[in-house]
Amino acid sequence: MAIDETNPRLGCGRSIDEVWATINQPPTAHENGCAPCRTARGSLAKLAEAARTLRDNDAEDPSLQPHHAVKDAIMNLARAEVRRGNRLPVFQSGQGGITISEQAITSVIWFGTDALPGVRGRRCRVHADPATADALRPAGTAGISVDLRIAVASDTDIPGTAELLRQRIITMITGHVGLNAGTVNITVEDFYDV
Amino acid sequence: MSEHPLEARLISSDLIADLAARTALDTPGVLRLEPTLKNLLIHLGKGTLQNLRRAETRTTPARHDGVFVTVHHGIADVQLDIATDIAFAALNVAQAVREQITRTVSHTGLTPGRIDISVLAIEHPPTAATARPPTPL
Repeated sequence: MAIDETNPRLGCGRSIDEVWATINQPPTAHENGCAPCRTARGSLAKLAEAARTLRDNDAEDPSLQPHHAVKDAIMNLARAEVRRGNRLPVFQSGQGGITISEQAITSVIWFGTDALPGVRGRRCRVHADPATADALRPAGTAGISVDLRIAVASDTDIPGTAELLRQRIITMITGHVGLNAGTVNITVEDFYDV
Repeated sequence: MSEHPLEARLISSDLIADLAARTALDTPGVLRLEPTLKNLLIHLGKGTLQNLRRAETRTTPARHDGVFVTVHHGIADVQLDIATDIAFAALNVAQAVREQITRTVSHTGLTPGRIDISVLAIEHPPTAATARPPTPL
């Protein structure tokens, strides 16, 4: 039988690591009845208490707190990453690929939407074309679909405006993003001036 | 055989990151590199390690916002996060950046590995009179 000399064992055969792993839990029936385990738990409990005290002191020590500028920088970037949304894969090759964030594409759509009189963009989601989403694709062949929800002025010709908006979005995505907007779903969900 | 040993020269990932950042910023249509949480945490990690090792220098470790480079076995992998000018097609700009970085890495003697580009923002350039931030979602 091989003896692991690097891992100290108690008289009962248990390793000290096994006792340490459950030091924050109540003693088991074995540990209550085993003298070596009781002794080990007693010693390790002091060590656990010391470690806890050090950890708590560090957590409250003002000199160990991150500078507010560091916290602000982390939170600003975290919020920015949430706003960016998913990164849509638009080009893949064996030597790497290109992704474009949902927010980047959406910002182009907002430029097109807000420039149209009588239309106010409300919500927009962009999805990679599911037909080619997981396939390797050369540049310029990736497609996306757009779900856009808008509010319009009450005197708006809704079918005509929606078609104009659809063509504008397709043109802008082709010109400013370099992708093909195969599907642009537009939902008019409200009149903003009623 | 020369009595003088050859001097070893090391091309570090920081150097590649610097070259990749400059190459990207020189590419028409690239407005800036976009910092990410990953970059910041790596930067903070480097600073913390430096403090823990009680490094003599107090200088900030080289920081390359928006660039993440790994060099292994003579191959350089580059990840770059950029913002592009709305006057250009973002996909074409990203493709041009990939090609330029591949060329730049080749010139260092390393083999270009995966060159991944993420376009995180498409905006008007800040100097344009009509520039305005995109409407938040």
